[in-house]
Amino acid sequence: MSKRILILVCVALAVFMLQGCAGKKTGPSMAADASAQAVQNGDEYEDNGNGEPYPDSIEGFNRGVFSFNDGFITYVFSPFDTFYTGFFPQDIRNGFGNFYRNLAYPVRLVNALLQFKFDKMAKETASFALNTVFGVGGLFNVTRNMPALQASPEDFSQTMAFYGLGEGTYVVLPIMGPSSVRDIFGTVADSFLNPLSLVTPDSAKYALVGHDKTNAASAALPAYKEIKKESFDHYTSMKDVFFQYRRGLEKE
Amino acid sequence: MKKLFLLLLLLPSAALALDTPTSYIRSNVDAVVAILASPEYKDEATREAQMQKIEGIVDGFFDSEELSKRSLGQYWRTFTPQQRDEFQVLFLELIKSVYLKKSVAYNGEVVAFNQEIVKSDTQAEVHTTITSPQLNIPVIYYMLRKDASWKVYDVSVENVSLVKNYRSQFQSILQKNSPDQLIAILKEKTNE
Repeated sequence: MSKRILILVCVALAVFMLQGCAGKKTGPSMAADASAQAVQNGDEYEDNGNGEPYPDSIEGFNRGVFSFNDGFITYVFSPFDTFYTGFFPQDIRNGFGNFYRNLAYPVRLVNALLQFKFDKMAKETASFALNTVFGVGGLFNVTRNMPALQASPEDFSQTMAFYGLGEGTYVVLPIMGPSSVRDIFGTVADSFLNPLSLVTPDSAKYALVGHDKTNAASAALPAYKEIKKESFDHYTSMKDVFFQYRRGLEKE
Repeated sequence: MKKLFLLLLLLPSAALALDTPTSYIRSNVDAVVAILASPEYKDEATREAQMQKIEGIVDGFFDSEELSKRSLGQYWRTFTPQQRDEFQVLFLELIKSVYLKKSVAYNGEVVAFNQEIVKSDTQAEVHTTITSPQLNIPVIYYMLRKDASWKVYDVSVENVSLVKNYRSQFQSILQKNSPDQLIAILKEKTNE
């Protein structure tokens, strides 16, 4: 266990250093944004709360990966999803989702602890216990309609934000989709706390992690298609959804 | 006669007092849900009439000027009065169609009213949760009161504000295009 904590600390340090680099890198592109920024400042309608611009210093690269991902989703994942959802009915897919979510309880617990969010630790623990015992190992989310036990999930990226670390630039990862420099490190750190990482042999571990991700992506697919249809600028819309959602979580 | 006069004086203020932010959202949501759940519209042929009835409610639900101002941000000032009017009508049309498409997917969801935050005489938030067998989705209505009634100027779903999302898109479009070009794009989108 102490080894794990050591890894976490190393990752945190690595992010701190990368943060420095990322900060410098955004320097030149800041000039380009400066004019837009100047107009923004004097405006009464611009700021609706958190009007910080979204950092996207590798936009060209991101747009390339984004269109690759969109093609992948449209021509590979969607047809596969039709097969997947045909094979597993909605209730079963919900069950998978509940199970993986329940299993990742240590991730949320430790990150809530690291941010001294003791009320969240209590809620998560009560939910985990009830869902594990009465929800057949977490297949059923029996606490879903208990408002007193609802808590937004904590992860290591939010923990790093809590200690004042910036999010770094926006990064669109192949297949995995929208992320940020801090989120990428957070996801890696969190994976060590996920019990799935303990599964042996490796092939079984990767199969389970893969299924978890596939099941989650399948649940998110309708929303993705909706955003695509309703947007004027799909790339910008997805970037905005990503930042609004992540910054919303940080505040809770 | 004197009594009647007094009663007349009291009537509008009584109506005003009833119109709290939550009651405004609740009555509108209830009206839409009632139409969606009504057996009157079970038949596929009545779908059109059903949608029109909902559209009538959604029409007055939003403050189209505030929606437009906030979605355009600093660019609102660069629009001429005619462009503003044109944009406003089209943008409300778009928001309505987004809403209507969502209601077609209605599947017995229940709306719970969790919290009402009144920030001032003219500003409020109503926090709700839409509950279906699969999901709980937090939805927040942001409201302003200009004249007699509260109106909605933004909706956030899972912490993602609709207006902010359109604003980032419109800004990226307006960096390279004129207001007229944006209006043309909007026209195309609403005609789809």
